[in-house]
Amino acid sequence: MAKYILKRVLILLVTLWIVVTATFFLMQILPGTPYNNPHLSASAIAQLNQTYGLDKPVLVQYFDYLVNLLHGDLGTSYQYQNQSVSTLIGQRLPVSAQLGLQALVVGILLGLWFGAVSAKNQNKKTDGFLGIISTLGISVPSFILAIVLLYVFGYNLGWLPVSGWGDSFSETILPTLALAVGPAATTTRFVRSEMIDVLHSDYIQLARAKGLTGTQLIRKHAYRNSMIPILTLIGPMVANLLTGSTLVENIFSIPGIGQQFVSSIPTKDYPVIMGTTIVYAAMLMVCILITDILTAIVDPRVRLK
Amino acid sequence: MEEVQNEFSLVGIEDKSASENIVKPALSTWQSVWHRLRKNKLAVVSLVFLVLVMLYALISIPLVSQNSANQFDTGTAKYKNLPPKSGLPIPGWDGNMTTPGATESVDVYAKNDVDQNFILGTDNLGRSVAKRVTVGLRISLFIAIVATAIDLLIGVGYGLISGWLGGWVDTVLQRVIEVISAIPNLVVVTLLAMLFGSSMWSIILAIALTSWTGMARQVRNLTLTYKERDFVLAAKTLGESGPKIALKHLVPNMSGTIIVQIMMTIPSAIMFEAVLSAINLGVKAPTASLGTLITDGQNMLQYYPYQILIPSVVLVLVSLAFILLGDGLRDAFDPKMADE
Amino acid sequence: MKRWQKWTVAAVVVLVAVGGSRAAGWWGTSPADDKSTLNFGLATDIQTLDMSKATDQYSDTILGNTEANLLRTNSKGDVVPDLAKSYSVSSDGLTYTVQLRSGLKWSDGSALTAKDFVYSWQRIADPKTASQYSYLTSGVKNADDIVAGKKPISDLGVKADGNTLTFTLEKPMPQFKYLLSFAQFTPQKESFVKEKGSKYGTTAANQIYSGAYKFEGWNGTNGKFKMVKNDNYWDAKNVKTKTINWQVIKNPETAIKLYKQGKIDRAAITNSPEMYSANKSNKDVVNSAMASATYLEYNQAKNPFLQNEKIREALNLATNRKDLASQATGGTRDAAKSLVSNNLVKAANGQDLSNYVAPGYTYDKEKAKQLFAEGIKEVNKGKMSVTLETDADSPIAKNTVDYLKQAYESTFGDQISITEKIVPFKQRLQDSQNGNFDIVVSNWNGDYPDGSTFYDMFKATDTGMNNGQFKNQDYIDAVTKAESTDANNPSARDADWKAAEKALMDSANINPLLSWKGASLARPNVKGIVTNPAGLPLDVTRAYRK
Repeated sequence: MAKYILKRVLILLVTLWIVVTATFFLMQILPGTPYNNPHLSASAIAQLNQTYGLDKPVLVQYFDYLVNLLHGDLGTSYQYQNQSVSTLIGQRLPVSAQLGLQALVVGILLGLWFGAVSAKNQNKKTDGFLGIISTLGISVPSFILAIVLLYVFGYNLGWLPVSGWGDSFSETILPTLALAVGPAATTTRFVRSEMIDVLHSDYIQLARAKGLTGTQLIRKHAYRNSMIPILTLIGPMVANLLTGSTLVENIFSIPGIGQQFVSSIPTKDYPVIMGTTIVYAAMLMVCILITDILTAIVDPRVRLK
Repeated sequence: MEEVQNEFSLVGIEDKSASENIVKPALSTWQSVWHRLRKNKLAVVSLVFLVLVMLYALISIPLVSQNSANQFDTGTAKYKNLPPKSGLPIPGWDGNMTTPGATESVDVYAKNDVDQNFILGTDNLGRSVAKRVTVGLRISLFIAIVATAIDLLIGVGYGLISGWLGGWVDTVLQRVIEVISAIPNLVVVTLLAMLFGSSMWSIILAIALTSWTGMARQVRNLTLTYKERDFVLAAKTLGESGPKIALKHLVPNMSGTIIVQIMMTIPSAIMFEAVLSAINLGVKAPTASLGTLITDGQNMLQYYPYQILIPSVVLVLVSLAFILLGDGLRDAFDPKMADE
Repeated sequence: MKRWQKWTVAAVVVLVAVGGSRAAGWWGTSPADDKSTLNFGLATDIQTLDMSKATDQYSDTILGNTEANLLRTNSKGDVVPDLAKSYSVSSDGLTYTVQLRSGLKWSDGSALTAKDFVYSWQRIADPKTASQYSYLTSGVKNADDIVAGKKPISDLGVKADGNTLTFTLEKPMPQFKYLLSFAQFTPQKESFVKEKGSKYGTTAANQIYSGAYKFEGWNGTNGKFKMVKNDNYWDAKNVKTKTINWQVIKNPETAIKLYKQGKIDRAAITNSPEMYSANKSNKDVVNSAMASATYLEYNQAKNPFLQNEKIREALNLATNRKDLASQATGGTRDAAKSLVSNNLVKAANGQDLSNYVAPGYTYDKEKAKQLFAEGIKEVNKGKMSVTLETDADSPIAKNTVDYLKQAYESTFGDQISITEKIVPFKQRLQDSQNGNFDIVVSNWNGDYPDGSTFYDMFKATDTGMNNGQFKNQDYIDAVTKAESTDANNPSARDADWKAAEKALMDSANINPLLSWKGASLARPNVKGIVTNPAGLPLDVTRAYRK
């Protein structure tokens, strides 16, 4: 196991290095400069280039970037003067992480519940209804959902706060819901099919024969065995959450890294775009690694290659 | 999920039905797929819906040109923000609405002295929403389908090469996929869209270049499995070349998986187009896509909600239909379902 | 399962009840009644508190309310002494002498001296600082050479002697007094800047305040922060509000909602025509003047069609500015009469400068068609295909280009084809500067209430603003005259501006489209807010709740 983890971590680091290199050189060919003032003269631009180290050869800049990265330094933002990208991302990451985690937990819990209800009532009306709802859930992009939730519960009914973060829990409800629907729908569909397989299996038939009723059966036996594969879903779900959260954070004015990423695109703040990309990639890879390891630990049937 | 399938293999018996006898008359693969798909009402409805949508999109090309959807009268404001009017006394679809700032619902058409009926209303410049949604649907579908087609070429080719050649080639190609999937798609699509600038083709390319990995993985895994099967060995013995075997024998056998994968890629491409529009990297104005219509409609949500609801509903319905059809096809292609 | 369901339902009920009751204000009084606090929104994140490096109006808003300069613009638009006790200008207009108030202090209690002003001026001019606003110092003795790195910063024409500051200029600049109220030139304490090093201005704690308020609670990225009354400010007794809360609200609709819920005291309603028409008859609406203009630049360096004066004139004549303002912008902007925006400054005769200089731009479709046909023939390159570029900052910007495309194409028929190019703000600036455009929609907001802030833009091809790269000698002569021989003669200067506008129109070098204006919902019981058409957009230092 230790060897497997070590190998995976090494691969992860190499992958990350490739991601860093690829994004770095991509940034070099993207059009744009860090300055937004039309009054700047050529000499002032040359001066600014020197300040940001942009006058050095690209390879030197690249190695500087790598060395700084090893020290946890992602450079200085063009847009936010003097502000280090590591600080910008570091302070925003917990916000995004909380939002993402809340959405993931709510989504998975709802998915488990709906999935089980669906499976228990296979091919009945409830099942069909939940089936359509969950398919709808994966076909509605979370930002459209966020807009609708904001409109209905924030603007029209006025039940929940419409923007902000950090003052009260109620501020987190709408964005969490908007993001949770995707994971909930995916989990529902997955749990349903897993549980139907399990319910048809021999040992459940045996339990049934022994007189266990529906609810007990599902809680005691079916859940446990259909839970494990859900772990494998977390990786892709995290990836989708990252995509969704960028726009949802923007809609609700939440100071997370998604919002930062979106706002750094029109301002061509390349150090921030790059830093965010690297952090996103690292987060996603770590999530996938953790779920793989967890799967290996909980499921004795899965053998490590 | 695919990630994990690469790393782990299940031990034990997987295929229960293998031991059962087949007693039904032999049907060709496609016949039996259709036979099974027909039983899934939702999938059939989706299929019919999608066929109609595609036909509509095609037929509309000569009828509603891109140019006509961008036209409006610069000389008057009376056509601006007209609510949907069907011409029938259907509440909510009769041209009546409470305009922003007003307190009572009035027939806006009568108030503005407009004789024409706009069945889905007009936008903030006075352009017909029906025309814009038609063009938007066409463009979004075009982007999604072309991106998926490119996806298909890259994904299947890549998967076949990786699986067929195996060895170090396979290892390298799989690592490349891992790197690409390590960066969230949105980020890659955004970076590529920034690189290529905002035109329809750059969006297509940006989407295509990120979404082929799923297809490549599935095809590779199937190639690895089929490589050892008798029919491939037989073809090899008869001296057929690698590429020929791949095209003549492997691809037809994978068609089910590939088709299901396509059904899943199209809606996600539609969604990515919308996301790109939301961060101002969408198609060039005044060309409409579903994404740009939704983004522009966002400012209207409070005042003229139909302007965002209509394109959103179209987007969701089309995605929904693709996903439901994909589900149906997956079940239909699944041999386990054969006896049900 | 039953228990699951109950729990979930219970949780949802609790959450909704909590959220709903909070929103309904059952958990305390509405913030709109609290006299010791005011609440405002900011449309984007703060970028920096380093005044030498701040380039956006939102950072400026924070800095302008927490830092004080020698002078400050009052509600009538006049500059009056703030940290200065008095100032005088020499008769040739070349020397400004300023007496500081005695006993000035920084927010940390240390003494604020004339040296802190000198340091701030030197720092922004210093090439090592790499300030994007270093050009603002231009006109002060040796400033241009210092910015270019040719002279040491100690040569700058800003000197301190005890409590007296002396500014020596290279040429008379009637607008110079306004610079003495800019956020960019507020004092900076050298020892503090050196101590903080690269952290300077990156958080609220990494800045020191000379103004009516201290800034607190900004960690560099968060969206909620506040200004707390600065007891060390010289006029603290007239600062009536203890705390001003700020939050970043990026969605303009959300800001309006928060205003209506009583959570913020001011919200702009000009983001989209629909928002404007829905709110404009609200009793809380206040209108404010803005010295911002939107105009088209024609690429006269590269595009053969746009090099033709007849074609440019035809485009100008085919522009119905009144309809553009009422339809594309829904009345959120006014039709432009001239390059200079409305409400920038009054001319010497008492008229608004834009009315005084208006050269008479008109809409004449028939004449436009005729000129266009002639122009196309002269160019002799067939159909004119051009791009029309704008940035995607608001629905109004998009509407404007949609409107112009339609207007030009319907006027000139199949002889013209216009492709819209909607790009991010920075991309538009870059394309403009590189001459990588055909026609571009440009915006300019005046830095200070004086005609030169607009007319300086086109006096050379290398000002960084003359993106169309045109050279109009009549225009240059008029502007040069205004800034040299007529500099100390206001009415002659106005006449020069008028001549410059006429030269611009006669050669159709640009196409003035719109003049901006502000409209906001503003809490009626909040008094004392100052909005400046040019300069600090929102001055709340003397604001209070009645």
